[in-house]
Amino acid sequence: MSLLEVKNLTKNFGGLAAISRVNLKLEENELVGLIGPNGAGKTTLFNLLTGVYIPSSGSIELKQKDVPLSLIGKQTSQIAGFGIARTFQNIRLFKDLTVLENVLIGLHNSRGANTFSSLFRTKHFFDSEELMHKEARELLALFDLESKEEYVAKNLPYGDQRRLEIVRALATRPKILFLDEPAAGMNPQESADLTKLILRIQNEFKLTVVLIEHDMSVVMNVCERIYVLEHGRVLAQGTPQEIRKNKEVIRAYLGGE
Amino acid sequence: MENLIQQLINGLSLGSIYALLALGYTMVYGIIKLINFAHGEIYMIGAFVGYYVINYLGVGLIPALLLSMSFTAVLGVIIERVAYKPLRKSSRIAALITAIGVSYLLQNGMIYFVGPEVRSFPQVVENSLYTIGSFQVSKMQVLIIVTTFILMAGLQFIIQKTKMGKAMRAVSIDSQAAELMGINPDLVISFTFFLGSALAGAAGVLVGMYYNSINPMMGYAPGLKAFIAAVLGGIGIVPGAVLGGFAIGLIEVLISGYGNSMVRDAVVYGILIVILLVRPSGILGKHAKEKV
Repeated sequence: MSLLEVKNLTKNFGGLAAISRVNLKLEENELVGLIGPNGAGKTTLFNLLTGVYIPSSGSIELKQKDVPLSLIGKQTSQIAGFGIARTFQNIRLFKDLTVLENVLIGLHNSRGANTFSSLFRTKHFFDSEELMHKEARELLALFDLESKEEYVAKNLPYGDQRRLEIVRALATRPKILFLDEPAAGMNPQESADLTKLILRIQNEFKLTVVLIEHDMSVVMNVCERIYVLEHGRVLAQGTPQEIRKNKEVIRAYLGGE
Repeated sequence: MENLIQQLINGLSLGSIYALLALGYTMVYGIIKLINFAHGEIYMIGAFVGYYVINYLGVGLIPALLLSMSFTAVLGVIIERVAYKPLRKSSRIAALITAIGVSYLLQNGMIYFVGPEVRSFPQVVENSLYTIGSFQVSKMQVLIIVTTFILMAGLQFIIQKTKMGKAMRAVSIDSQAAELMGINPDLVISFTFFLGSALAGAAGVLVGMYYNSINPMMGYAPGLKAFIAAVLGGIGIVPGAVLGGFAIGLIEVLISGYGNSMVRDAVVYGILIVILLVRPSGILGKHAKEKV
């Protein structure tokens, strides 16, 4: 089976179907784009897949040790534990904590001493603490943030905050990383750097990346497959070349004749 | 001058008690934005647990403190699970009213089970006076201040250095983002009640020994004053609770010593009104910015 399989996923808010019978498949180590006009339901779809919203109907299955595992009814924190991580459209770092602490919180979840052994300062505590600090610094170094580990997150420049949010998500050792408009507010040079960064993440961490993005240069350059959403439905899917020529997509973006 | 130093020492020991209690208010508020009005009653029950274990098990001060803290810590967790957790998605006023209900339940429950009369607290520590120069410190006061500082150092360590402490800070900043990092918010909330209630239990035992009397209504006034201390320092801010606690303790003692002890409580409650009018975010609080 695929890494993640979504079937007939629907989410109603009152009478409005924000997501309607969406089918979606993610394979291992692929880079998928999710595009669509404003209000198409892209972020809602992310929220459903990460357990923030509970679907009205439909199924979400994640491959765990070659066995499909339903994510419906699972807590957000459990889903994170299964290997799904995300960033936010408007950055949501732990803004009063340091850069290093932000990453450590991501790491702590998968590993780390329990409160008992840290209170009594057992050897296990020191070992795991040291190991985690090392890991956190390695991750930060990959993203050129190691010199800023003691900065309070909210004092970082905008671009660094975006990168830190990605590092924090990677610290949870995800299998799938959802990036919600990572290039929002970036200038063309920063977008180009981000594009390289996303490709690097896909290759070095061997994970699946799903990208919501309005910046078409980013989407068309890096994504292997693209899903187009409109009014909560999947309007089209395919390679960037196919999507570029798709009449339905052109109509949705530019208006019909 | 000597009198002033004497009063400051008294204020410091009273302030320690308020600070221990205010920490519980502020931590719970920081995590789930609830003013836990049952907190004063947890402190009262802490005092009673101390009373019973010293009288019937014949233990000394430190075991009494530890037993009382463990009992109230578990009680705090149970109260949260039973009374507050089902209301987590409801409006904040619903949880607040429930907290007041829990407070009355514990007060009246204790009156029913142990009786309303005032009991004298067993003296496990001989209350000798140390005379330094021309002012005096009681052994009890030293004990209260030292115990408070040890507990606060422990709390600071837990919050700053442990995995759970980092999770607490993360949840208080952005609980949804914390969940997406795999942090289980229920566990963090339980742990917060555990810590806050343990501190309240310790404060109960210390006060029992200091004033030598306990009764089921004893939690009401200190609970309110500790709440004022937490607001004064900036609710949700841990150092603010300590600052506010010591400030309220000193103000009370100085008013009793130099002014009129009849107006002591009026002044403390007046501080709440003034702070809410002038600086609602408290001394250490920053003005809340609108989220975009």
